[in-house]
Amino acid sequence: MTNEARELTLERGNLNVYRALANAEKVFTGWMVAGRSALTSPILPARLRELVILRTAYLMDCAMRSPSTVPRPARLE
Amino acid sequence: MSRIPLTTVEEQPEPIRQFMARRGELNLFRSLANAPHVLIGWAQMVDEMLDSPTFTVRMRELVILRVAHLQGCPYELRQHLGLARSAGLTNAQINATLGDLDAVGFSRTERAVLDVVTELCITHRLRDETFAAAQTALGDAALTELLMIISCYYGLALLLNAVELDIDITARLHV
Repeated sequence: MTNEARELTLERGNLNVYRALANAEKVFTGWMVAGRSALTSPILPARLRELVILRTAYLMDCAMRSPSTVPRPARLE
Repeated sequence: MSRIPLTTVEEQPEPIRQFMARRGELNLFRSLANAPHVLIGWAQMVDEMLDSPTFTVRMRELVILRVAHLQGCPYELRQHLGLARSAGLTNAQINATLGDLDAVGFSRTERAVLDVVTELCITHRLRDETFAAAQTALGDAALTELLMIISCYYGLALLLNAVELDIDITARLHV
């Protein structure tokens, strides 16, 4: 991993998803820069952004982004 | 008529003007420029995907056309039909990509890639055998890059369909 890619990864957290994407070294840095832009933009509040991400994860049936211990449809009290 | 007004090239910051000079003054970029906080990073991602030597242009355009077809995205289709032809795809191969994959004979690797696109876009998952065929054909690095390309154009199609972006009259993507 290049220094830039490593710094971008550490900035977001050493998640398995980034370790998987880093297999594609030709496009990984740009992906992380795009991700940082989306996650740090001040336009949407974090609450709204996370609502969007959770709803997308639920509709895509994506366990990685959904609370993995909660059966679908997820219900948190 | 696009549901969000298009920005002008002249009002863009320098990095975006340079991006449009490199890639074309597409309605897509003029639309995304309404979200300047995310566009510059997104543009770097697109530059890396389009400049990456991992896939031939022909293979990448096959993937994009298949995604565009399955997502029902006329803007993506229109921009990439010309690129697909320039990359050497025949009308029969393009028609098969936009319909019945069995209608023509794709190479084993092309078919493995197209099967990944099809299954992922329709079911949101990949069966073990579909994944294994692509992994054998491509290896881990290229398969990961393929999945990133698919997810990029899948998401882009959602955005384009939401905005009902006007198809470009003359502007074409430069790859």
